[in-house]
Order: sequence, then C-alpha cells, then structure tokens
Amino acid sequence: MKISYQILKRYLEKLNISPKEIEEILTNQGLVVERTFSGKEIVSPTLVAATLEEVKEEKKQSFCTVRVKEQTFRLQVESWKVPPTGSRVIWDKNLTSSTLASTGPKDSNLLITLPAEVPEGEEIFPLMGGEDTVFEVEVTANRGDCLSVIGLAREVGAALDQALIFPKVTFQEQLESSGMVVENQREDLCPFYSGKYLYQVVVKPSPWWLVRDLLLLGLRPINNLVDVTNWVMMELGQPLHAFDVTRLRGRQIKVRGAVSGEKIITLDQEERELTEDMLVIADSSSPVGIAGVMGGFSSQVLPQTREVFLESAWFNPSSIRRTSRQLGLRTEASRRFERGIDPEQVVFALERALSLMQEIGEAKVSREWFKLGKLKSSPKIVEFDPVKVEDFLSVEIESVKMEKILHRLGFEVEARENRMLAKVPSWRQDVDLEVDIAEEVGRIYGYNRIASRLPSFPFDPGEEEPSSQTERAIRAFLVNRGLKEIVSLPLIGESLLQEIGFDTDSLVMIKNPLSLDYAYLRPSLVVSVLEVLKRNITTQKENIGIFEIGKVFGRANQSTPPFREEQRILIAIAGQILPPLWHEGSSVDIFVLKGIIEELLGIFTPFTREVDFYPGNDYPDLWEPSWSFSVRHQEKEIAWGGLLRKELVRKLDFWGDFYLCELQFAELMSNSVESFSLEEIKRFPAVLRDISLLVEEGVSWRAVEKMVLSLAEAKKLPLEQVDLFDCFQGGNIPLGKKNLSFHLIFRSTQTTLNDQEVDQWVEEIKGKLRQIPGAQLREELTTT
Amino acid sequence: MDELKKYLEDFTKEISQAKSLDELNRVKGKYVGRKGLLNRLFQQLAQLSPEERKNTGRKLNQLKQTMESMVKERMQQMQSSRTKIENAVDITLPGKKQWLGSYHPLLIMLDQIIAIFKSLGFRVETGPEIETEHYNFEALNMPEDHPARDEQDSFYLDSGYLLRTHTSPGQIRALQRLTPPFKVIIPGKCYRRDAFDASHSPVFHQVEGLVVADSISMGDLKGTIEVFVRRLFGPERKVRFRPSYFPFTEPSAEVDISCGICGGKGCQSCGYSGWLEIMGSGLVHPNVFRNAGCDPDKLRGFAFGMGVERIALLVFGIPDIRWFFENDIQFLDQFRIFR
Ligand SMILES: [Zn+2]
Repeated sequence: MKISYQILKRYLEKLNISPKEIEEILTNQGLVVERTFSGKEIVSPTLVAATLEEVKEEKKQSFCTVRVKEQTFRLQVESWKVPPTGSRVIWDKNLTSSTLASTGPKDSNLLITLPAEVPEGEEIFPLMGGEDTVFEVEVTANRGDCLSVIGLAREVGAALDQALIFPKVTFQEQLESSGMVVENQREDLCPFYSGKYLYQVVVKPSPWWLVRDLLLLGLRPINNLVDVTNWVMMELGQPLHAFDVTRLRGRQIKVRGAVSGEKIITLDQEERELTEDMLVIADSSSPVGIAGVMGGFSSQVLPQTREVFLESAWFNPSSIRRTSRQLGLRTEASRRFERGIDPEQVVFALERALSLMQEIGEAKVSREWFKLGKLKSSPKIVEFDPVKVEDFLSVEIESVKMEKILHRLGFEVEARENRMLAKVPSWRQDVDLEVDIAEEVGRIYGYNRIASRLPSFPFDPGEEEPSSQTERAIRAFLVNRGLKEIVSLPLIGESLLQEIGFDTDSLVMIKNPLSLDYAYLRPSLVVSVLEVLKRNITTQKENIGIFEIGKVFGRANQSTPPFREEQRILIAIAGQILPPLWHEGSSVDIFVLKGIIEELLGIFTPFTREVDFYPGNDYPDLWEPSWSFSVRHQEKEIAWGGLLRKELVRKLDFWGDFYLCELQFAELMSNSVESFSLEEIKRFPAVLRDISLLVEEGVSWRAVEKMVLSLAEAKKLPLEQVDLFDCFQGGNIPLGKKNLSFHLIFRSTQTTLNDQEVDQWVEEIKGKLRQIPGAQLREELTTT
Repeated sequence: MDELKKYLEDFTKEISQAKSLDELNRVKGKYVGRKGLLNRLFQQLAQLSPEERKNTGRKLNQLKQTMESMVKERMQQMQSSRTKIENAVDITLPGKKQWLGSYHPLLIMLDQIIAIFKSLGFRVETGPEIETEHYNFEALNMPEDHPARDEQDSFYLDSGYLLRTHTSPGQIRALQRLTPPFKVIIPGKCYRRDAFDASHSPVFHQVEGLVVADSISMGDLKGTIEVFVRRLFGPERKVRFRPSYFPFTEPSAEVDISCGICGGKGCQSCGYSGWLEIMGSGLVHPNVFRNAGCDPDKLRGFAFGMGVERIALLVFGIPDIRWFFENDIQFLDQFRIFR
C-alpha cells in the first residue's frame, strides 16, 4: 500500500511532523515502511505533456499519432484504451521514433490522459504542486483496514493523538428509474450487495489533482469514472466496480455461482475458465465480472459510456481468496476483499464515489437503491483488565493513556469496576481477546518501552537427546578425519532417479513440485550427493572428501504417517589421499574408504569385532560390479557402498572414481558404548614374528585372520595384534595364488616372554594355517 | 652400573664415528651382538636373586632397546640424502600436510545458536519434517483459507501430509510432551514452495523457541532475545522490537538488529533502513495453548523463530543463499577455521 505525505495531511487535524518521523511511526506500529520515494522519482522528470492528434484503424489494428511540440510519433495501441483525439497525454521525452520502432510500441500506458490545461511539452513533475514523499507500507495479513488512506491516517493519528478528518459526502438524486433488475442468489458468498444507477454520465479525463494522487499511489489514471472508483478504493479500502448498463444484457445484474466450464474475458483481456465454487456477477446470459477479483472486458466503462451501474459489496473473504488463487489472479480488489473489508463502510464508500462523480464530472444519480442481503451488525465487546495488559507487555501505563490510545484507534472504551469494556470498531475484525487489546496498546505506546528481563523459574533442561550426542560425535570425528561437511538438497529429480534405476513408485513424491527436478524426496543420501560431486568435478575440484548427516524418506504404507524419515550418514571420497606436495601422491581407493568406516564403527562398537564387510549390496545399479560392499553387524545391514558405477557417472556428464558409503544412523546409536571396562596397560616388551602365507586367491584375509584369532583365544595365547602388511599377487607368486604377509605381536601383561615359548606358539599357528586347503607357508622371517 | 654407563658412552662415540654401513654393523655386533658385554650380563641374570633379577633385567632390556634405536637412527641418517645432518635442511620446503575437514557454515551457525540457548537453560528437541496440516497450520491458529498461509506456500504429499513450512509445529509437540514450566528450542529443516534465487531456497533451516510458565510476559521475551543477539552478533549491535503479525502469537513482534555494515546509518544491505530483520516472536496465542490441550488461563509463554540461512548470510557475508547448497569444496574449505 502506497501513501503520500501530502495526501496523509488532508486526513489529519494538523500534521506537523516530518516524513522521516511518519516513516518511524508507521514502522514502529507494525506497518513497515519498506521504501520511501520522492514524488519526483515516481513522476519521472522525463515525462512531458503531449497531444493526441489522431487515432486510425488500419487492418484491424489501431494506431495513433502523438505530438510533443513540433515532433510527432506514431504508435500502435489498443483502441479501447485510447482517449479522444485532441486530449493531453503523458509522453516520455526520451522516446524517439527509432526506439519506438525497435521496442514494438504497444505502450498505451503512455496515453494517460492529462487535463487539457497542461501545456504541451511541459514536464509533469513541476505541475505536481511541490515535492511529496511516498511511503510504501507493508500491511500484515490481519490489517486489511490499513490498505487504505484512512486506515493509515488513523494509525498516525493514534500516535500523535490527533483526530481523523473523514471525507464528506453530498450528492443529488433524481427520480429517474434505472429499469434494472438486480438479484443476489448467493448470500452465503455475498452477504451484502449494493448498487446505484447513474445516467447522463460524461466520461472524460479526471482533473489534475486526481491524476496526480493516483500517479503517486501507483495507479494508472484512465477516465473520471474509473479513476473515482479506484480513488475511493485507495481512500476507504472499499473496492467498487462500474458497469456500462447498456452492455448488460437484459439490464440485469445477477450475483451467482459460476457454471462449471463457463468462460469470461476479464479486463486484462485474458480468457478465464471458471469453476462452480467461484462467485460471478452476471447479466441475463453470462458473467460480466468475477466477483471481488476483476471485472469483465465486455461491460467496462468506455469513453462513450452514458449509463453506469456502480457496485459496492461485501464478499466472503475465503471465497475471494480461493478464487483469486485458483485463477492466479491477484488484484487490488481481491487483496482487500480477502482480508475482510469494513462492513459498515460498504454503502458509505458508494456514496463517496457518487459525490466525487458529481464533483468532478457530469453524472445524474437515480434515487433508486439496490441493497441485497444484510450484514450482521452486533458489535464485538472485549473485556480487559488494565493491570493484566500492563503485565502482558511488561510496561507501566496509566489506564487513562490506555483509553486514549484505544479511542484514537476507533474503540469505544467503558470502565466497569476493575475491568474495562472495549467495543471493537467494525473495521477491526482481527481483535477478539484481551491479548489483542494488549497488542493494540503496546503497538501505539511503543515496544521500545517494554522492560527487559529474563524468565526465571526452576527447570532442568535434562540430558541432550542421545541422537544429538551421537550426531555431534560423528560429525566431530569425520571433520577431524579431514572430511568436509555438506548440506545437500533432499529434493531430487525424476530423471536422475530414473538414470540410477530407482523405482519411483516406492518413493515419496511431492504433489506440487517447483519443477520435475525437485519432485521427489531422496530415498538415499547417495542420490542427492551426486549433484555435489558433479559440481565440484566440473570445476576442477577433484580432491573430494565429504560427508553429510541427513534424512532420507520412504513410504510406510501400513503405518501412520504413511511415510518414514530416517537419519543416514554419507561419506564420499575421490582424488588424492594427501594434499599433492613435493612428495609422491597416491589416489584414494576402496580401502581408504573402508578405513574411515572401520574407524567410525570402532568409536561406536569398541572392543568388538562383530562388524563384517560382505561383497555386494542391494543397489547393484549404483556400483561398479564386484566393487560394492555391505557392512553387517550381527547379520543386520548397517551400511553399504562401493565404487560409483562409471557408466552412471558418464551418463550424468562428469568423470572420476568416487568411493561412497551410506550408514544407518540408528544402528550406530544402538551400538554406542554402554559399559566400559578398562584394559590393563602393557608394561612388558612385545615380541614380533612374521608369517608369509601362500593361499588360493579365493581365500579371504578375514578368514585367515579369524583362524589365527580363534586359535589364540582357544589356547589363551597372549597374542596382541595380527597386522597384515602385504597382500601380493603376480611376480613370482604362482598363478591363482596370493601371498599374505602379516605380523604377529605377542605380549604378556604378566611377564617378559621368552623366545622359545613364542616360537612354539607360532609353530602352533602355522600348523593351523597349513590346514587351509592349498595353503603353503613361505620363508619365515624372525626379528627380535 | 658405572660399567653400563661407560659401555653406552663408548658405544655412542663409536657409532657416531662410523662412516659406512659396514662399519656401523661392526659396532653393532661388538656391543649388542652375541659376544658383546650386554649378552654376557644377560647370561649372568640367572645367578641373581628373583628380586634383583627383575630389576637388572629391566635395566638391561632398556639399554638394549636404546642402543638398537641409536643404530637404526644412524642408519637412517646415512641412507637419507635430504636430511643428512651435515647438509643444513631447507626449512622453506613445504610441510607435509593432511586434508583438513570443515563443518558446513549453516550447521556452524546452527551449533552456535543452539549453544547460546543451551547456556540459557533451554532444552533441545527435534520433530519430523513430514507433518500434518493440523500441526503445521490449524493447531497454530491458521485455519484453512487463512491469508497468512499465502506466505507459506507448501509442498504437499499424499494423504493430507506436507513438508513442514516452519519449525513451529514443534511448539505444539513440545506443549503436548513437556510439563510446564519449560524452555525449549527446536531446530530443523523446513520447506517452502519458493523458487531458488539469491535470497530464497525451497529448503532452509529454522530454530524455534518456546518458553512456557505461568507468568511469562513480553519483557521475558525481549530480555532473552537481547541476550541472544548480544552473544551471537556482539555487544555493539542494537536490537529493535517492532509490532508484527503471526497467527500463533499475540502480541507479536518482529526482531531487528542494527545493520553491521553501516552501523545503522543505512546502506544497500539493509535497504537503507539501518535495520536487519532476524526473527519473528511474540507471546503464545491462547488458541495455540487450547489446540495443544493446555489451559490458556493457567499458562503463558513466549515463542520465537529464526531462519538460520539468513543469519549465516549476515554473519559470514555470503552474497547468495544458493552457495550453501552447492557445497563447492573451495567454499566449504574456508570454514575450516570454525570448530
Ligand atoms: Zn546497513
């Protein structure tokens, strides 16, 4: 909502503060001034008066010639908008014939009609009667009343303790009858509909003051009749609509529901299809306006219009809101109706328009009144306790002052014992409760006077949720491990899911996505991280070590809600293990990834070796064949991952080897440490032995390791560690075999071990290893 | 024992004089080998009393390890060309580094916000991202066709569910779960049907706050938020409370802080107003208490909600909200200084 300082001045007793102060008052009362403009900024200094010389029809198109001093310009226009030949219009003096030719000149906005007394070629701004300041005010959804000059003036008046000057209404009525039939079939959606018949109307340009005011408030002046309806809407907040009666079939107005599939061409020349729940204004055969949203093209007031039906109504806010949203059509009228307009001002606004019509133009008004339906007029009374209002606000304020504030806002206040009764003004449908009164008082008194304090009461915030603790620990570990935390989008595209081979039927779909690129909720973090990998690779950031903790979504058809959201952890690595410097670098591989996973699991499942890696997992399309794995804990899958399938990477237009793993957060939670038992510190020297073993290539290291460990456990050997230091194939190793070399580290907590007993244990272990089919011990190396 | 000391001194001298690997091996054999003094002493251990044996044994072992590591070290010196002691090291060569991890700027901000409220005695709760219209709108005093719903265009799923448009449903859940008095914050991801541009994202993060007791007033809200702002943005920033409208609070207040770039004089970043909007707040609306099954005559509370992206943009001077979700490595790497 725009309002200017000079306009505001007309509605208050004595406005003697600066525009800057007005801006502060409005903002501090909850009506934020988003921008201020000078009048000059709005009425650009390049705008000058011109004369419309000629309007011509050529091949069904209209052209007009505009003269500015000696120069003439020709432009194509929409014929219905063109003022009569000889009128003064606004012209942008920077426009030349050549720019007009190149911009495809349909700019009939320039054909704003000026009063004839403005000399041709004169700049518009100096005619504005001095500088002005325009405030653009953001009006919150509860304050429809402030979408008007009078509403904003009332707010400023309350701050300054000044009375409001209400516009005057005087008009003459004639005995003439309209011969019109007006009927309201939907009192549910239109509780009140009123109208007046005007005749012998002369449609012409508005006087300069009205043109000026409309320009400042951001509206386009058209002709006196339309301008008056627009002005009254700005002034009082009541949208009005004028119909050309001769173009209403059957001289009829019918407020009715639209018939499904019915069409109307609205004022903006768009054809719109209506649905049954929309309210229309119709003549005897078809809609001539979408109630409260926009008028129809066919019945609009044109320069030749002589008979007018002027409508002022109260439409159901929800209905207007639904219709306007459904049509994607938001207008100045719908904005006001959907917030609820002042029911007691519907008729007054109509009268105000009639007065202005007679003041600035020629129009006769029939004394016939059309008033259909009735508005409920039981005023709301809110009871409040001034002490409680003070308490809500943490301010000290005398009840006299409270009363004064409420009075200026239009409330009638009456004391009753210790309490007060406030009669809520008809334009403040948002005020119902004692707290609402507190807000009104607080707004005007000033939130800056609220005395700060801190809430004090005994409350034990309790322990942090275990999941938050775990999450923090995981994040800290991964960051310390050199990985960067990311936040990717949970919304993903259909085409990406199809490339990956996910069955979209099992996913959570958004019914009204922004676009197909954001149509589903991710079923796995792997999907949303692909975009991140691609973005980095394609800008040559090839050393990647990232992780994310976030939710994935799926369907859960038998439960309530029928969806499941689940926290997961994703790790992705690519590129060099270490920053490339003056030493030789090597690339990450699947074992670098596995190392991170093992370390992470080691934090949450300490002292256990129950986690195993198995080849393959449930998403074969994501990974290179035979380079994928799943991780299980007591037979339950807790993580999966692998080398991202190269074909998929290529399909998504990037390149590189990416090792990814996704872990189930909940599983880490359930495995976190509950009991802790301290290990004794080893103070005796360790003894190291190495074994080199030749096995069939199908034998896994894990099998060999387990064999050694279980023997050590069975025999209670003080075996501290089994460390693989080489796994080798090719060279002098026979085909189909591989060499596994590993350290055995023995250490006792009780005594210094002697070589002989250690040798004996190693022999036992070797004996066991020989039982592996096809296994052979290679040279034995012993160090001391 | 002096004998051992002398033995180590001699050994030290000889290995430092050794000029080749062969020479070094000879010295090693002489002192640590089978015929060396040390081995002889080990053999004599058996004659000692158990107590002495343990003591002397440990000392001999230590000596043996020291001597072995000295040999190893000398050997490395001889083999390495770069770090030869005789040639001064070029200390200007780059150090051998590791990749450094970093936290995401949004979560750094979120962690800081949470830490401040925790220090003020708030409990931290979480809630689902998939919500019902009831929790997201109706219970928060936003019935169907409420104009305030326009500002929160939602993503709908089937069966009447939607992605939460704010963390405020957490207020209802907290009221249902916790026994007053309490202080709680609810951080989390939210979704609105806004197309991406420099200041909008369909996915964003919020922190909701709720304090409920029998005697809460606007002063408690103002004091709490002032402490929060001072801690997060620094003591020189001014706070302004401005009336506003939210269906679930009454009275409602928007919280502005003075612009850090122009110091409140007005500049492009603050739209020439000198103030930056950082959160919405107010006293809990009686209908919200009622909808959560509480008695508004017995309880009062204040609530607030802030956008983490907006605060992070301000604090880090990031020009575009989309940068948070692009996760460019170079962008992320800059935040490694925040722990
Ligand atoms: Zn600024």
